[in-house]
Amino acid sequence: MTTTTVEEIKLNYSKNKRRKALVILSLIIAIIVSFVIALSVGAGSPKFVEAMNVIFSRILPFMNFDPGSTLTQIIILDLRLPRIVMALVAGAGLAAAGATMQGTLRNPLVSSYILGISNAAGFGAALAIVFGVGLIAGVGNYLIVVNAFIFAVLAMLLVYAIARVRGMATDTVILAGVAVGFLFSALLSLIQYTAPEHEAVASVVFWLMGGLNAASWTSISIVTPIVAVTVLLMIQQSWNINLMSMGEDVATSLGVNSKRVLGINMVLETLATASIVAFTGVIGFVDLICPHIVRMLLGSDHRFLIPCSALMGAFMLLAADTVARIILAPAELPVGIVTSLLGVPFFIYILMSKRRQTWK
Amino acid sequence: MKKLYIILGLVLIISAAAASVYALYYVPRESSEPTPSAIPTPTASSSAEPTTSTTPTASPSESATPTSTPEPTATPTSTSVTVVDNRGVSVTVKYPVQRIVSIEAGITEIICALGGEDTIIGIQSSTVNWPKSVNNVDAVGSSGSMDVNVELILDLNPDLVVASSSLLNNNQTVAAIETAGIPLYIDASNIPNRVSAVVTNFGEILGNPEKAEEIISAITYYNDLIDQRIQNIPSSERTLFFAPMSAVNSYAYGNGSQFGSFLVSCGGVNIAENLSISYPQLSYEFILTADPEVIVVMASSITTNETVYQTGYDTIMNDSMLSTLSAVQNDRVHIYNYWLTGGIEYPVGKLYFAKMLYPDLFADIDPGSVYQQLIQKYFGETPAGVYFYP
Repeated sequence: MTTTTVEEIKLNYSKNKRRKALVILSLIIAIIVSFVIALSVGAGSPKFVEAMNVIFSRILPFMNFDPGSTLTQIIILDLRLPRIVMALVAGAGLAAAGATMQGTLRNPLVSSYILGISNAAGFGAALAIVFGVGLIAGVGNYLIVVNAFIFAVLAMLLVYAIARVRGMATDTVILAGVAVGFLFSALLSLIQYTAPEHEAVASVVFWLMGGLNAASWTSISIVTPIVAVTVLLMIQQSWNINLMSMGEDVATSLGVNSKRVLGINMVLETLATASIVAFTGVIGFVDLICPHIVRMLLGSDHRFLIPCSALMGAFMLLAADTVARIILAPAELPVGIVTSLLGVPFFIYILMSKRRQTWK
Repeated sequence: MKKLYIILGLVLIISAAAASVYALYYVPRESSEPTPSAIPTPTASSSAEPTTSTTPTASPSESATPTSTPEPTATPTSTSVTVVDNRGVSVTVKYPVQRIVSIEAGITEIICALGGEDTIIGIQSSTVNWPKSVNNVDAVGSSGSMDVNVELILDLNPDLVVASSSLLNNNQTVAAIETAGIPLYIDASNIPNRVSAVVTNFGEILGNPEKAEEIISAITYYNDLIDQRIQNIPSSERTLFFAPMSAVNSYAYGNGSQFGSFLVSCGGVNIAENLSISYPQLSYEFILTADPEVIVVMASSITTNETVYQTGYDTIMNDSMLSTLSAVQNDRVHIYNYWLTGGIEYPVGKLYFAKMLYPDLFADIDPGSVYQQLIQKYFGETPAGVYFYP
């Protein structure tokens, strides 16, 4: 501290800047590479060349690329591509929401599900799967999606109401979230226990495992705008989160209305997570771990942490989903299993090899 | 104040949701718990109830005996019957058996078809398909086999407890039944290959082997009929099917699964036949490449209400992922009732599925009317509603 000169600080700063640029660049390259790999592998026959031909025949129709058979086109354009896009969007949304909530609540164990969202969404989906009932009628095939979303939002409102009474303290939010989560988990168990037949219960279990195999352009067109807007708004909040992570008192003395920031972030997080989970089922781990990995690489500046977590989440979910698709082909593994099996060793490696203390 | 209303409102909504779920499947039970002080009382009151239903039938003199003496050993039995259940355990039951608690719905049906409805004194709540009247018997548990109240079973003082193997997961219940000296018969009527054995065993237990023979010969007749018609179909012309576990996901019944092998016995070829996983989640790419000719899914609940079948059918027909499949294009998507896959009704299911796979070969057969005949013959009742759609 004593010998630090202005030059050293400047040097450090530019070093840091280069480091950040490098990390972002390598994440983008990793995403592009896994995008191409994901497009080229699968249970169907189309490989790299066919996949690229289909894609380019659509992007550059005047170049006379061979679009291949109808089946090839369907596999690439209606199955692989939407699934890849969904993995990128869902991974980015979940990880960004995780980073935002960890920072806002100043707690490393927080995942984007802290507000009871996953259990509530699971309960909503189970209601639809087992009993075919929902809060909104006439949504037809989207009953499960709509139900999961509504109950996720309901859980957030419940947590918010409880936290409001206690003056929006961060620990109240965490505790209320855990409690609401347990409430819905109990209700979910009740449904599974009393459900009239086993098949429906199996469907609920599969839904809870999560998966991207139902991704379609329709679901993407619903999820992507929500995730894009909420993640941009989260990034906009990153200065406030930076100040809040120094402690509520500091943040308040610097003019941050921490209660308001917490409220805004809760809403953003819920909208992003609920819209993703409603379509994909519960995909765990990405939201918890990606922010930590990025924090270890880049430090806790949320201006970088949130967007980089989004990139890391997109990469991780796409990689995991690709492995899930091909490892047992033509059967598939639920992606949640793969994210944990691949993510945990990676995380532990970074945890052990890194000297930097990221949580004070 | 405003906050308080918000909280109250939300709590109300949640508890209403919880209550409605519970109310939907709540099973009212005549509890025997409020009288722990007097031990003889519950035995007397609970055994009095089933006797009233037993009296109007064939053996009024004998049914009086167990009511007066709750100890099973107190009634000296002249003979007993020993049968071997699916565990390979020899189960010795007193003859004639008078009080059966059956928490295996398919076996309850078989007992009734063998003329033993009056011996049934306890079932799983309202889960038996035929005869409908047996669902009025006291319930000792709700639909999941884990959820059995062993106190209620012991209170009923049965001569025999019949259950599926899932009861064996509940060690305490099994131990309590065995300690009470009540024989426990474990079997699986949902496995078609076990049905004839179960029918034979209960023909012995109930002293009605002729009726058992009759039922088995009907089963054999339809099995042989299907086998004869499908055996000469070359493997290249066998119908390729995809049997998802539900209309809302791509988990499939593989060859190792109960239903998967059932459809293979009807002459079909599973698109998942080369997979070692019993219930694989199939990749949509694979499903599209395999291009099944028939898709068959169980109705999302055990019902004969056509709307449920229609919903499942529409879900698959309108699934954009599946729209290019031959099965969807040629309108060969079918929804079936759980009861067609096991128990005494499985030959009818087999006829439905064989006709679904090979409509021309089975053009002369109307599984619906076979079903009407069988149910009329076994239970004197007439089925209504939908079992197979469309």
